[in-house]
Amino acid sequence: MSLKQPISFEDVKVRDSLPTAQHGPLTIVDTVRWAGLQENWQHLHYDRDHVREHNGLKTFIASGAYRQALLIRMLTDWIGPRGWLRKINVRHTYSTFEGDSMSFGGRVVRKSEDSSDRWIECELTGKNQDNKDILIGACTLVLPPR
Amino acid sequence: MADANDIVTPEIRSWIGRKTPLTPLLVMGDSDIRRYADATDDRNPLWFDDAYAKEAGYKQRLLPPTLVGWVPFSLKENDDGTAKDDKPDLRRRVPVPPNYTNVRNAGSETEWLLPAYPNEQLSSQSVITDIVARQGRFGVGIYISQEEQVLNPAGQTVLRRRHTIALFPEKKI
Repeated sequence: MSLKQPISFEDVKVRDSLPTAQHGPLTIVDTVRWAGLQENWQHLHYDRDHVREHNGLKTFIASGAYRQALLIRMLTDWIGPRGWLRKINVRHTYSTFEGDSMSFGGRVVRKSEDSSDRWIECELTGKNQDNKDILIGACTLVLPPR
Repeated sequence: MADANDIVTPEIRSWIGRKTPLTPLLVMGDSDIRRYADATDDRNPLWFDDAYAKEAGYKQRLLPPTLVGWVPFSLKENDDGTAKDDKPDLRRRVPVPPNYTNVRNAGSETEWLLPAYPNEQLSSQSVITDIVARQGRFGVGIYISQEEQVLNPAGQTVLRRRHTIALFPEKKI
């Protein structure tokens, strides 16, 4: 496969929107695949009866690590093979339940003025199908020159 | 309802500052990358194609960021599916009250400093940095923060992370 760099440092401006990534509706297949990868066997992520009885939830929820992995994938797709995800922080604010959708996005809030250290800082958001925040965060990305 | 100030006992508080030795993590290989890609539908050729990764400036294909900082910390190493006692994650060993079994991811900050590669033996060291109780809408939660660093075989830090888990009594709606 030949390398194609989709974006450069010069292409990005403060207040630009990041691309959005849509996922869902969340199914038990999604959560079990993730549980298998991470060997996270908490009933919280696949067992409807257990979470109703023991957690008082309507159904199982997605793992926070799974949601963060989808968010990171959006970023690494956007910055391309010569970009580098330097830092991310994420705070989970609301659960993603079976049947819910997830939408991840963000915007550029700062940009380096040092041409030898080409970073941008972005705010990150995650919302469900009702436009309710499920996570908030921020990241620092390093982009290649044009 | 329990008071937030009573939950974090001196015994629990004594875990702040505890540190693990530098401990090998389970090695992430091609099978892990495939299962990661199946779970996230992430087909980025950087994770699969050595020639593509070399063209981008790396020595070979990379581990996806999530396989450096998240998955290796969760994998179970005993035959019965439990974690080894010497696993580089102290948070689940803090002696919280026995009914605090409802574990939530309360947030994290992760920094990737260098690329990590499939089949590399990475190692990790962790330290508990904070344990607090907070009264929330659904009861008192115990928030345990840990700082972790992951080193490559050359002893270089490839990742730093600060992660907080929240533990609640079994019923949390």
